[in-house]
Amino acid sequence: MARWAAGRLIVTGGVIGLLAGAFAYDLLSPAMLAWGLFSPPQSATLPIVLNVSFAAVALPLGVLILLMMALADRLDPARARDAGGAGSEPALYDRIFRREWGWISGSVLFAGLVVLATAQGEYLGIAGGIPSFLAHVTAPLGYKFQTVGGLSDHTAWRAALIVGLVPGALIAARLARVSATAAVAPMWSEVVGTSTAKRVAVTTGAGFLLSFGAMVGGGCTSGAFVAGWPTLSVGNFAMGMTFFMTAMATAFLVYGRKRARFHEIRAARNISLADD
Amino acid sequence: MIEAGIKGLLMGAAAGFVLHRSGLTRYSRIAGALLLQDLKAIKFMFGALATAMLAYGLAAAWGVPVTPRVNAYVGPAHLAGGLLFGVGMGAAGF
Repeated sequence: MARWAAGRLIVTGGVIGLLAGAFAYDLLSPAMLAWGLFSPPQSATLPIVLNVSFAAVALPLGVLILLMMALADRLDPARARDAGGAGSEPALYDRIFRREWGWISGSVLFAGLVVLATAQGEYLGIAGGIPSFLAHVTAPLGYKFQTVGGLSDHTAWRAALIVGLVPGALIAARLARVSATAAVAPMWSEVVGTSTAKRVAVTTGAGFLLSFGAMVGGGCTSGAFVAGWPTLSVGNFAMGMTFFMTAMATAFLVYGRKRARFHEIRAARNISLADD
Repeated sequence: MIEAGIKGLLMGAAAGFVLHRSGLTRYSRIAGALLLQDLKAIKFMFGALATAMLAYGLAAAWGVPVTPRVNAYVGPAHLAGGLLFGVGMGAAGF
């Protein structure tokens, strides 16, 4: 129970951090404009820069990335672990709702959602939904989000998108019968420690940096990367590469020498594929 | 606005479901990817963006009107935002 409560507190800290980051961005955006952090928005995509058609870049680049991922799959240090535990073939229901999906089926389905959002005239950006959500929530209180503008079908769609994520993931967890024992990820406890105050401070601070950074840089892992790169936007390429490199450097620093023992720690903590 | 909200809600739920089932909501998958010890999250994200890229490319080549909205280029903000976002992502793994 205490663990469950501590887990809730840590998650709440993260959510508060995310919301605070969006508020901070809204308040600071005029100042950041004045500092020259933002240049006037330009429509810049690789095909425009290279002066070729969209398909001439998208098709070869898409194939190249898929080939690189096929190579990454062969080199993946976790490959043996993911392939392990075969034995008897699980039933179809278990494969869909209990076992973790493979990366190929998962990524094709997610790409389908990205394209479906575009077909609806919308955009699958999760962090971008935070200011829309706050704008809708605070409008009855008389607060006006300057970076959102007026409320519309678009802001309603984006606000609802991030609200929908939670029941979607919870239904998946429920069907998988993931137990509540791992309210706090064991790998994370290994590096952050067991102090609740420290854990809450880390998730709140990280949540703030994530949403504030996403607003400044023009997207998050979904908006600027998974949904952004297919549009061949130069800004999204710059943002995606910067945050991935920085995140890797941060994780290397945080883990230090524990990095080499990643699999050992994971195995020692008995993190199973159903529950980590 | 209600109809748009319902559509968004369903899309969000579908996205949350796919992310959870693919292991992308797991800390150990994200940390493993950043430490280059477990590449599943990397394979998932690049696999998804390459698939969407091919879909847009084919749509453009065949004249199907599925044109994504493109985020504008706004200069140094992309790098500043990326640095802040990266520190948060590396520290918390979400």
